[in-house]
Formats: sequence, C-alpha cells, structure tokens
Amino acid sequence: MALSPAIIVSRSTRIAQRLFEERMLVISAQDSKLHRFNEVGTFIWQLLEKPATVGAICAAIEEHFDGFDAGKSFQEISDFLVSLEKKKCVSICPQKQ
Amino acid sequence: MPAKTIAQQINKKASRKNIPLSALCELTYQCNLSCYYCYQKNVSKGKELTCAQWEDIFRQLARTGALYLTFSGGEPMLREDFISIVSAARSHDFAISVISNGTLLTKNKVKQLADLGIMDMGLSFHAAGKGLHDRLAGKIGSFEKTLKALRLCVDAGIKTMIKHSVSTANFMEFSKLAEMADKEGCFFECDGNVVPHEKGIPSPFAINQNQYKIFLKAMKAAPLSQFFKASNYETLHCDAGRSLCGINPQGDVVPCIQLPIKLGNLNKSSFREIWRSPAAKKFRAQEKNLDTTCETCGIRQFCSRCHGIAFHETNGNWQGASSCLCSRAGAMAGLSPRKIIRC
Repeated sequence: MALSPAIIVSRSTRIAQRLFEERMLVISAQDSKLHRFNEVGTFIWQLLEKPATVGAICAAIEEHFDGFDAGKSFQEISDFLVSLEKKKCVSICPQKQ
Repeated sequence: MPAKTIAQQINKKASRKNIPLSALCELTYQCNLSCYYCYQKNVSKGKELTCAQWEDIFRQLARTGALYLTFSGGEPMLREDFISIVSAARSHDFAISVISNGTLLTKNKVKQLADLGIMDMGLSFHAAGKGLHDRLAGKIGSFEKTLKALRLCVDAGIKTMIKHSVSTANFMEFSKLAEMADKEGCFFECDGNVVPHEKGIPSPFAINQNQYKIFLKAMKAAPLSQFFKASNYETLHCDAGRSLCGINPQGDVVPCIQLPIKLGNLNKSSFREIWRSPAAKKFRAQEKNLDTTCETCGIRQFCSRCHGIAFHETNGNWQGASSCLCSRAGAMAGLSPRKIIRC
C-alpha cells in the first residue's frame, strides 16, 4: 500500500551515515547493517536532513531528475521509504491534524 | 573470489583509494585492571588529547570519508569526558563501537550511550567464571561488574559482544563463554591472537597449533575452503594504513593500533597531511613487499597475517613472519606440526 502524500518522514537519530563515492552509506544502530543507496535513494536521504512529507519528496525528485514521473513512481518511492522504516533508518508519522 | 557483502565491497574500494573508512581511537592508556596479557603496561603515558581535540579530529576524519570509529584504551570509561567524546563523534554521524572492561559502566552511562546510538559494545571476558576471570584481570570483583554491565547493555538494546582472547591461561573457556553469550542474549567474538607484551618474543600465552585446531573445531569455524583467499596478495596483506588507521591517546596516527609505526602526530599536522605524508606513502610501499618466507610459504592460503603481531614478536620486523600466526595457519591447513613449512 502506498503512503499518503501528507505522511511525514524523518531520519532516525540512531543511524550513522557517510557519503562515499557520491552514494550514501547508512547504518542503523538497530541491526548494524550497512546500506548503500543508489542515486535517487541518496537524493531522498539528503532531502531528509529535515523531516519532509512524501508529497514533497516526490515533487523534489520530479524537479531534480529529468524524465522522472513522480506520479508513476509514487509507489516505488513509497516502498523505499517503508523499507527504510523497517530498517529503523527513518520514522514515518501521520501529518499533524 | 569477488567481494560479497556491501561492507566488503566498500572496504575494498576504500582500501584501493586509501580512504580511512575505520579508525580505532585509544582514548587513554590508563586502566583500572591489570590484565595478564596487557601489552600497554609499559607504553609512555604522555599528555592525552582533550575532548575538544578529539572533536576536531572527528571532523577531519568525517571529511576524509571515515565511517566507523572504535573507542578503546586502556579503559576508555576512565575518561571523565567519555560520554562527551562519544557525543562529539556521533554529531559527525560515525558508527561507534566501544571496547571496555565494563567495570565502570553504570545504568545511567549505558542509557546515555544507547540514546547516543552507538553501534555496539564489546566487553572483555577472560573466563566464564569469577575465579579465573578475576585472577587474569588482576582485580577481585571485576567479573561480577563486567557481567552486570553486559546485562545493562543488553537490556538497553545495545548490540553487545563478549570479547575473548583465547590463550594458554584460559584455554577452553571459549566454549563456556559462547554458551554464556547465548544465555545472556549477546554476541560472542573471540580469537587466538595474543599480542606479545614483551618486545621481540612471541607471547608466552599464545596457544600452539594443536590448541588452535581444538579451538577452531570447537567453534565450528567455517569450512576450511572458505579460508582460502583469492590471491596471495589478499592472504598476506591487510588494510592497515589504507582503509584502516589508529590514533593513540597522544594523537599519534599509526596504520593500525597494533602496528606502532608513527605516521605523524595530530598536534602538529592535520589528519589529511599525515595520511598523505611521505611516511604514510613509504609504509604503503613497504607493505607491498613482505618477507619472502611469507610470500613463498606453502600454507599462505590459510594465513591471516597481522603485521602488528609480527612487529611485536620480532621487535620491529613487521614484514617478517609471526610464529603465532604460522601456528594458526598450520591449524587451518590441518597439517601436523612437523609438516609445517617453518616461516
């Protein structure tokens, strides 16, 4: 199931990270596993320096990458963010009412 | 054999490009125990780096691409500013490991470390019972304190490891400690390499080849075929001075904390200057040329060379062979002692 565009995503405070050859390396203290993001994943991670909504993330990706249709890729981005939550790299919160 | 995990791939790239991905930082040489095998008892104890200096070093290391930091000592908890140092490192997004004897860990300190998001805590155990552990640690009551620390860390959700050096003084305790780790819900990490505490001679506590065999068999070491390396280069060479560095309490930068070849001092030069210095380049060039006895050894496929142990065993000849590691390779190869090609 895709996340709502209004959902807010923020980085976990218990992660280690470093940019390595233009790709982000992220480790969660939860499992100590090293994750390497691709170009889009790295871009998303850098956007999350401050909490952002899923909608804002998709819009930023569409603006940054030529030929990227955020509408069509919404599910993919959503899945990526959910996978990051499972790895305890981010937390996903409903938008404030 | 191609690198498999992401971590292995990244380390390989870092090593090729001399990016110090991992740094081991000794925060102090002071210790509240007196462990039987300690190789730091006679090191000079000069002025230690301050917390502010460490923070500046972390900033420099982050810029050069370092991701993993390990804090050890001595006993790092003897630094009153230990939590501040960890906090400073975390502010630069490092993955932090701590190696400690655990005797000074309190519930409050464990909570602070958990909140700071350290990756793991390694606690040293010499044995699985207080009698032998306390004797080898040189202090009565230390086992109970370390065990208490272990439970506090596990309860706080910190990945916790029992760290153990297998030696002649505690041989076979590894089995009991492995069981203890299972029972306590933590990890177990052990090896049979004992760094000599007297220059120029192998450690009297180093286990022999037959003991290595028993140890490896009991620990269900991976099938021997897995120990074969892709090339002689990978077998005999390590990442020290390339993707790995060490920094001692006085700010000396070394290729690896066990290999005391001083590349420079952070009170006088920046990390980048030291890492690109003629001394660092010279070390990397020398590292390519090891002793021919190792290069031509018949069981080198099983060797896990450690230049640091070779350095201490031979009083400085780090490119030479190490009897301790030859024993391990021999055990790995499954050869009887007389079949070993003595390096």
